[in-house]
Amino acid sequence: MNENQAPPGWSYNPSAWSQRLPIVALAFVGFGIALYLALYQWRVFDTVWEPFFGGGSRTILNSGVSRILPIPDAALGAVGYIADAVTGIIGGSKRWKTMPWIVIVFGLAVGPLGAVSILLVILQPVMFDAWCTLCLASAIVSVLMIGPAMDEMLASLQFVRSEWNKGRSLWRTFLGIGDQHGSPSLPVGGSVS
Amino acid sequence: MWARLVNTAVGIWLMASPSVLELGGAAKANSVICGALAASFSVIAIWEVTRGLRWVNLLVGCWLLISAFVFDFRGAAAVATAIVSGLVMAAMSLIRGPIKQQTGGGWSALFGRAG
Repeated sequence: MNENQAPPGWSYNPSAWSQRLPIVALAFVGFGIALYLALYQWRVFDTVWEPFFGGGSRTILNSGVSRILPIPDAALGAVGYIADAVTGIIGGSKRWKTMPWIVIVFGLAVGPLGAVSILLVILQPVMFDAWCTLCLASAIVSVLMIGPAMDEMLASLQFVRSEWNKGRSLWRTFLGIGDQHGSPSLPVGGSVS
Repeated sequence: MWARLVNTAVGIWLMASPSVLELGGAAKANSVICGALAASFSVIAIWEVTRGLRWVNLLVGCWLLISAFVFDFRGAAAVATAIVSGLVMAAMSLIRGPIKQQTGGGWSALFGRAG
């Protein structure tokens, strides 16, 4: 794998493994935290670790907001982190041009998940007058993932735009199919996460 | 980098200050919401490709200044926190910081004319 496949006009390759693996590692950390909190919400664990805010975690994790959906909100977070990790791993170090769709799905998964975490952190103290240490930790993980993920999405969007300008099919470019100069063939319709 | 870290610290302070200063009501909600937004966006703006999000903190900083006069904050501590935090945050958000990476024209390249 050539790590120097920088996009046109870029000084580095945002799809290089050295760029992506730290984000994937963060996603796994976030998944671990969210899974632990979900297991508490499902009462697999009777207590939840809370070193700073007394009964804060209990208040937050049993709140009405956390049970709006059929599954607890932490379980939804865990699913989100897995989506981040899977879409972060799929594809080689040229994926910004060989499979823009996965890069863009990855960017959307990381961005909105971070936004939801921020929203939940804002809601906690305002609505319930409580803080939750591990919820904050999860939000910090989500926020840290956004910045480093967005460069790759930008590279893919620029690539799709420039191929479109050249008169190539937007859809085929997006999916990484076909007539592109030197692009390897890809598993069409495969491995949708 | 340091300007973003200062705003991150200001954001964390705004989230913690209602407990420290024993604020309640509108002052508390305002401080926590502004703090969470400011801390999040200043961390995201550390990376060069998302540096533009520092402008969100200019809005948050200006709102903090306005909010000190809009809401009926009880106590000098609440008013002083909002004003000082707002001034620092707005000033820091104006600092662009070095951009060393080339990213193919950035986000604006997506919206330019075809060709």
